[in-house]
Amino acid sequence: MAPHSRSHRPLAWVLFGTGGFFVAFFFPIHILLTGLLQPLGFAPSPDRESMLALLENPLTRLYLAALLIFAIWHAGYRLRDTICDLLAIRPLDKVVMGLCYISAAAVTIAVIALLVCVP
Amino acid sequence: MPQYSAFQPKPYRPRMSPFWFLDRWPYFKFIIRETSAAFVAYFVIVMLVQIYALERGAGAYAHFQSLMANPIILVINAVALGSIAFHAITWFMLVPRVFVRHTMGNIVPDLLIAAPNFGVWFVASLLIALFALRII
Repeated sequence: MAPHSRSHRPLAWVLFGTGGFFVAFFFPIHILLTGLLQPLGFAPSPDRESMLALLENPLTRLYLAALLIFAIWHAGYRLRDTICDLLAIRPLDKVVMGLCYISAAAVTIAVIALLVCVP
Repeated sequence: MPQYSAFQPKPYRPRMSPFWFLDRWPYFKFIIRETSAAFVAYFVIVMLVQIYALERGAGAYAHFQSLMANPIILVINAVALGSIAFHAITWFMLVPRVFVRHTMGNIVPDLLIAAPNFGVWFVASLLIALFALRII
C-alpha cells in the first residue's frame, strides 16, 4: 500500500458543490409548482402537448440533464455522510458510499436515456 | 519474569448513541438540514417520472398528475419543499459568516450581505415558473 494515499473525495465534491448550487437555486420552485400549486389547482397546468413542446427544446433538455444529474450526485454525496452519522455506522462508510454512488450512477443513466429518447 | 502493572492502560473509545442528535438542539437542526438530501433524491425521481409520463402518452401524463394530487404525496412534497428551502436559506446566510463585513468603517448587516443570493433565487425561480407554466 502506498504510504500516502490521496483522497478521492475532491472528485465527488465537484459534483456535490455544483449540485448544491442547482438544488438551492432551482429546486424549490420546481417542487412548489409541480408538487404543490399545480396539483392543488392554484397554478395552471399546461396540457401534455405544450409540455412536450417545451421538452423538445434542446435547451430545456440540457437544463434538465444538468439539474437532475448534479442534484442526484449532490444527494448521494450528502446521503452517504447523513446515513453514517444518523445511524452512527461510520465503520460501514465504504458500503454506504458504494450504495449511494451506484444509485446516483443508475439515475444518471436513466436521466440521459429519458432525455435522449424524447420523441 | 514478566512485569505486571496494577493499572492496565486501556484505549479510550467514546461510545456514541444512535440517537446522539437528540441531545442538543443544534445537533437536531444539523440532522434536519442534512436529511433534506433524501428529499432532493426523492424529487429527482419525481421529475424523472414526470418526463417519462410526458413521453409515454396522454394517459400516462394524466396518471402522473392524479398521483401528484394524492394527499400523502402532497404532504411529502410540502415537507420536501420546507426542508430544501431551509437548507437553501441557511446556505445563503453563510455568506456573511465568511465575508468581510466592513465597508467604510461600518459593519454591513448580515441580511444585506446575503441579499444578492435571495435576489438571484427570486429571479431564477420567476424565470423557471414562466417557462414551466408556458407563459413564455
